[in-house]
Amino acid sequence: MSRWRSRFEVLSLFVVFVIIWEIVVRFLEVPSYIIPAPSLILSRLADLFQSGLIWPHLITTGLTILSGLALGIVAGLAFGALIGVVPPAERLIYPYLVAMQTVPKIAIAPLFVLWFGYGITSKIVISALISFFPVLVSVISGLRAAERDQMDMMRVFGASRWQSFLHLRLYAALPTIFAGIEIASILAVIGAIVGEFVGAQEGLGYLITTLNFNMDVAGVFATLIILSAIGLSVHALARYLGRRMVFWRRADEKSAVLSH
Amino acid sequence: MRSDALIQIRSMTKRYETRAKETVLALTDVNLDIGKTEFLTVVGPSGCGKTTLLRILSGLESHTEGTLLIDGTVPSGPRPDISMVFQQATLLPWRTVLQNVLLPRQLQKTMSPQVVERARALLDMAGLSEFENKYPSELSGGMQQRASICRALICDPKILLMDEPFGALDAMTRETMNLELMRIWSAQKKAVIFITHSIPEAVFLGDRVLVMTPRPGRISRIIDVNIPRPRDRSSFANPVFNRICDEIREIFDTQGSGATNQENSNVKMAVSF
Ligand SMILES: Nc1ncnc2c1ncn2[C@@H]1O[C@H](COP(=O)(O)OP(=O)(O)OP(=O)(O)O)[C@@H](O)[C@H]1O
Ligand SMILES: [Mg+2]
Repeated sequence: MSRWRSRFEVLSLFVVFVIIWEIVVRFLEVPSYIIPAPSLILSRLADLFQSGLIWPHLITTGLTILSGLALGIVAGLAFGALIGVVPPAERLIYPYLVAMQTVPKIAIAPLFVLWFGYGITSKIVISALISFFPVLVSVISGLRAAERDQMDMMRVFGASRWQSFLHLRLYAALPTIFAGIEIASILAVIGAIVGEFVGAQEGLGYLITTLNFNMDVAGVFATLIILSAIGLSVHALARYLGRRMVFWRRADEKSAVLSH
Repeated sequence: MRSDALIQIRSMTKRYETRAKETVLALTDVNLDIGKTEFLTVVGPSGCGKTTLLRILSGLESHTEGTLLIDGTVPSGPRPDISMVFQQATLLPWRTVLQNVLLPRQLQKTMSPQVVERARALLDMAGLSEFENKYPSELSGGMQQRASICRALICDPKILLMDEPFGALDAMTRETMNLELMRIWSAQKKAVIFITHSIPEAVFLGDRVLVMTPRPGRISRIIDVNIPRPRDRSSFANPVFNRICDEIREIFDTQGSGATNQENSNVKMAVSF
C-alpha cells in the first residue's frame, strides 16, 4: 500500500526532525525561553492536561471554532445559493462581499470585541466571518460547474430551471463546495484564535498570550500542538463528510487545503 | 416531397450572434423531409452546422428564418417525443445506471412501475442488465453510451437525435455499437437523425445520407443507401456499400474540406456589424 508507505515516510521525517531539534537544543544549550527542547514541550503538554488547566480553554476554543464554522458555512451556503439561483443578485451583492473580504479580519477584530464583548460571541462572529468567504466562493463557482452538455441534456429531457438546479447543478457543485468547506475549517481555527488574542478571558488564544507573558515558551509550544490537533481534527471531519457526500468522486483526489 | 414526413424543414437558416457582435451563418437554405421510420445520417466537414441542425430539431436552439414543422406543428422548445444522444454519454455520475435511464421520466413526472420495467427491458436489450445498480464511473465508455441510448429511448420518442454518439469510442467498440444500434432500431423503428464523421458508419446505418457543404452549411447531396435491411456485418461486404462510400468521399474532395479552407470561409462568413 503506497498510501501507508507515504504516511510512514512523512512520520519518519517528523521523528528525525524532532530528534535533531532535541540534540541541537541540548548541545548548544539554547535557553528554554527561546527555543525549548521537544522533551520539555512534551512534559509541559502533560502538565497542562494533568493540572486540568487546559480544559476550560480547550472547550471554549473548540466551541468557538465549531459554532463559527457552522455559522460561516450556513451563511456561505445561503448567500452562495442566492447568487447562484438569482443571477442579478451576484451583480448587486457580490461587490460588497468582496469589499468586505478585502478588509483584514485581524484589523477589525478589536471592533467585534467592542461590539460583542469579551465573551465567546465576538470570537464566534470573527471565526464565522473568516470562514464565510471560501464557502461563498465555492458555492458560486460550484453552481457553475455543471457542464454545458449536461445542462443541455437536462433541457432536452424537459427539465425546468428548478429541476436542473435540484438534479444537476446542486450535485455538480458539491465537490467544489466541500473543497471550500475544507478551507473554511482551517480558517475558522485561525479566526477563533485571532479573536482570543485581541481580548478574551478564556480560550487557547488567551492561554497563549498569558503563557507568552510569563515567558513559558514550552507552554506556548504545547498549546500550539493542541491547537493544530484541533485544526487537523476539524479539517479531517470536513474532509470525511465531503467524501461521504461526494461518493461518486474517486477517493484519491487531493485535499483542497493543500492544493490551494 | 414525402407523404410520411414527420419533420419538414423549408428554407431554414440559422445565424449565430457571437460575443464580438459578429454574425455567423451556420445553416442556410436547408430543405429536408424526414420520414417517420427513417434513419437519416448526416456527414459534413467540421463546423458545417451539423450540431446546429440537431440542436434546432431538439428545441435547444431556434432557427432564424424558414419554417420547421415537427409532426405537423411548429415546435417551441424541447418536447417529450424528441430525445437526444450526445457525443459524451452525459450520464449523471451520482445516479446509478438505472436512475440515469429513468431521469427523463422523473423530470416529466411520468414514473410508474411499468416505466421501471421498461427501463430494465431497455438495459437488458443493451446488454447492461447486470449493471443497473452500478455508477457510470464503473462502466466503460461504450457501456456508458449504451446506457445513454437507453435513457433516450425511455420516453418512447418519435424522433431520436444522435450527435456523433460513438465519436469518442475506439474503432472496434464503435463497430459493435453500430451493429447494436441497428438491432435496437430494427426492433422499434423511429425517426433517427445520426451525425457522424465516419463515412462508412453513415452508409452502414442510414436509409439516406445527408452530405453537407462547408460553411455556411447547406445540403450538398442526399444519397439513398440501397443496401437491404436488416443490415449486419455482411453489409460491409456489399459492393453498393463501397460504391456509396466512394461517392461521398468524392463529394468531399471536390467541394474541398481542408482545415485552412474552413478557416478562410469562417472569416468571410463573419459579417461584421
Ligand atoms: N453558440 C454559438 N455561437 C456562435 N457561433 C456558433 C455557436 N454554435 C456554433 N457556432 C458556429 O456555427 C457553425 C456550425 O457549428 P456546428 O457546431 O453546428 O458545426 P458541426 O458541423 O457540428 O461541427 P463539428 O463536426 O466540428 O461538430 C460553426 O462555424 C460554429 O463556429
Ligand atoms: Mg458538432
